[in-house]
Amino acid sequence: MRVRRFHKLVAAATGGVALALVLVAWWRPQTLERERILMGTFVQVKAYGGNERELNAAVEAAFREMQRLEGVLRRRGDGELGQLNGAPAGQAVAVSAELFDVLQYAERYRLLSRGAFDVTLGALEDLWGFVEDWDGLGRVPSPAEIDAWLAAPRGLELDEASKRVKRLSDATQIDLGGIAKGYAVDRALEVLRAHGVQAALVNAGGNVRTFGQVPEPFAFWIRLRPFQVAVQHPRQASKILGGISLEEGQGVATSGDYQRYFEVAGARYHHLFDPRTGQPARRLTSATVTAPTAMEADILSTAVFVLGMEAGLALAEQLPAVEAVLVTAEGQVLTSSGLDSTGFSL
Amino acid sequence: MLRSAKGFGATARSLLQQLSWGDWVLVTGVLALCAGFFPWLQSGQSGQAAVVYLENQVVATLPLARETEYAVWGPLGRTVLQVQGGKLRVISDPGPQQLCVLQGWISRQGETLVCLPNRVVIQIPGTPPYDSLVK
Repeated sequence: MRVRRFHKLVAAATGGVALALVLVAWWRPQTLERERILMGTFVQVKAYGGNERELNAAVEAAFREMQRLEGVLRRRGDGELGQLNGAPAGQAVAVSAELFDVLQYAERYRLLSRGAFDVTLGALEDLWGFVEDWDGLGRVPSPAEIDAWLAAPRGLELDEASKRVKRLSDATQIDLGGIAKGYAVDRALEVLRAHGVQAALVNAGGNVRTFGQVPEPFAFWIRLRPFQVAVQHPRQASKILGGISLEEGQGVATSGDYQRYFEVAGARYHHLFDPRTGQPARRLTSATVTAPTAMEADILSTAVFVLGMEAGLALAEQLPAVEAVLVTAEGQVLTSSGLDSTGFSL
Repeated sequence: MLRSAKGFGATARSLLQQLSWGDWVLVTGVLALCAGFFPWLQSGQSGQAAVVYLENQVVATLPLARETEYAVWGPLGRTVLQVQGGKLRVISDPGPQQLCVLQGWISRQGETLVCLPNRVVIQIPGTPPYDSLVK
């Protein structure tokens, strides 16, 4: 009788352990992944933690924030930047704190990159046919047109106290294409964090930032690991150039000559212009930069791309918590000195 | 009445001695079976189909095992997808740069084709070996 009871006990214990194993294996942290076309690009949001309803609300709020910023930061139209670009040159226009912040960052990095990053290239982009909602058709401007654009004075005057911005000439057309997506990614992450999400990743057309760590099942428990981001090869779309293990809160962005371009007589003309020549920058095919925020990564990937190998790497080395991976026109891959610490592997 | 630890240990030992070898085989077998299935249970469902989005809405799910051609009409015109040999590619698209056509075949979990001008996105659900791609 005693033995029979003991057999039942053993059977129940075995069943309990088996059930626990199955439950542990099946249980995984709540994850939500959504994609949307916003800001003229493919936007991916991944969020972890909480329940599905909460994650859904957080992700939708992040998309709404990006949609709102798309309106604010568009070059043309009724949005705030559209109005600033449409106002007469020389007139000080009051702008929101967020647009002022973006322009102030742009100005700071224009100085830091010695003019390689410049948001006042709108008129040059028009000359080459790279307009918002680009239809893929471009034109090669005549040398006289380029010279006229280079000769025209350009610049912004920012008054921090009154949050007013003045375009110094009609040639100063502001296009935030090299900063807006990164800025929107940062704001979207803030929204996700405010909604109580435990970890998240936002990728807007190759401008990525994360917070927290990815919870994933490992053996009999859940382990946390850093987000892993792959970098696409600039000439073979299906090939991965390497991977970056992102540190907490770090941003990463890539600028390449394969993202927006047209070809005339076998020559490729892309959208990343060297403001000093008025021509597409030719030294690199792609520049990937990691930085403390997505906005800084966005700005610096453009600046490094325009600057090329030596000056681009020098800029990355000069800034704290910034690393770069460059691919030259000849296909050579170069990395900044600290990239090993972020886990980049080719 | 509380039993002393020593007494409990002696009782457990004596009871365990009464388990036959068949009991031990059964217990070990059940636990081994569960442990063996553990990785499979953890891996989740593998994505064997591609999901087609138009304007952020799902318009089709195409099993990769079934050879087919599928057309989706976006704002610029017709994007045609081809499924063959467990892989999928875009064979024609009205986009000016043809980036999604040039990208070629996709077959792995998490891979995506984006025909941005025509607002068509094709994705194979699942977990890729990385969390995101910068391009």
